[in-house]
Amino acid sequence: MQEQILEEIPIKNDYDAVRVRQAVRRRALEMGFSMIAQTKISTVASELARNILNYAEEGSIRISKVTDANRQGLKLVFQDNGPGIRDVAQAMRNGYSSTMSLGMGLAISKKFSNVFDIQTTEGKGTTVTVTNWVKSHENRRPPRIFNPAKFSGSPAK
Amino acid sequence: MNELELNVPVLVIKNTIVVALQFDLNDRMVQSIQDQVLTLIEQRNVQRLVISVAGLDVIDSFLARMLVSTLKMAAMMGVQGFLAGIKPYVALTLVDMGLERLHLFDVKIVSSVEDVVV
Repeated sequence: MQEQILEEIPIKNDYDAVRVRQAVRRRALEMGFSMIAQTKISTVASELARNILNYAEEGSIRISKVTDANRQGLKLVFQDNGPGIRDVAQAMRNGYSSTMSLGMGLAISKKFSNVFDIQTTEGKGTTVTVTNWVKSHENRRPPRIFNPAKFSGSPAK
Repeated sequence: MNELELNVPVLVIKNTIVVALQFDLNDRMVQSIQDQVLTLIEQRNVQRLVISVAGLDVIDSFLARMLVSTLKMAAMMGVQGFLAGIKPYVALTLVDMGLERLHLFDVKIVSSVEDVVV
């Protein structure tokens, strides 16, 4: 898999978080992601940038384009040297059931990404990596067309 | 910060506070809007509050929770609150994020500001 770094942005304040969201959306648009995918990827960027600001105070994002044999993807690496997360599984379970923002951001990011990875060490920091692949047109199944002829006559028993 | 107050249009039209979120907001601006709206409710004799998100391409969990809490606080002050103009892709993303988790079921949603301000 080839990786080409497109952009690196420090995340230190609210304005950086907005910058990250906009940069990620622009890259997703350039790579040909659908509107829905762009919206989800930007949402992920926003959640993870906020986690850095809230829990680690500062960090950074690296935006890369990844290419393997027959597909292209957008890879985002969020890195910080904050306190780390003691129990990731627990945080994400809480994220699903409550409004605990750290876990919720992680849970949403996992749900909205094709590949989600988190490496965290208590006292040292956290790295969250998310990758989304562009759904290429060739790989998409043709739309299923409703054929009334198939439904004529008596219903199947 | 002064720029925060200048940037966010908050209007009063016929007993209704209309907040039109037009561009990408940072968290502090979102907080500032909530403060402005609640202050305005206290100062003016209004009956309704509409927050339009027609200008937003992304609503993340923080913004969603802040919108819901602003509308709930307004309700506590006797003002009927509405969320208006959610874009289709944003709607889809919010549904996938989980409406219950974001408490979006607790607020009234309309398609546009005109549905409230006649």
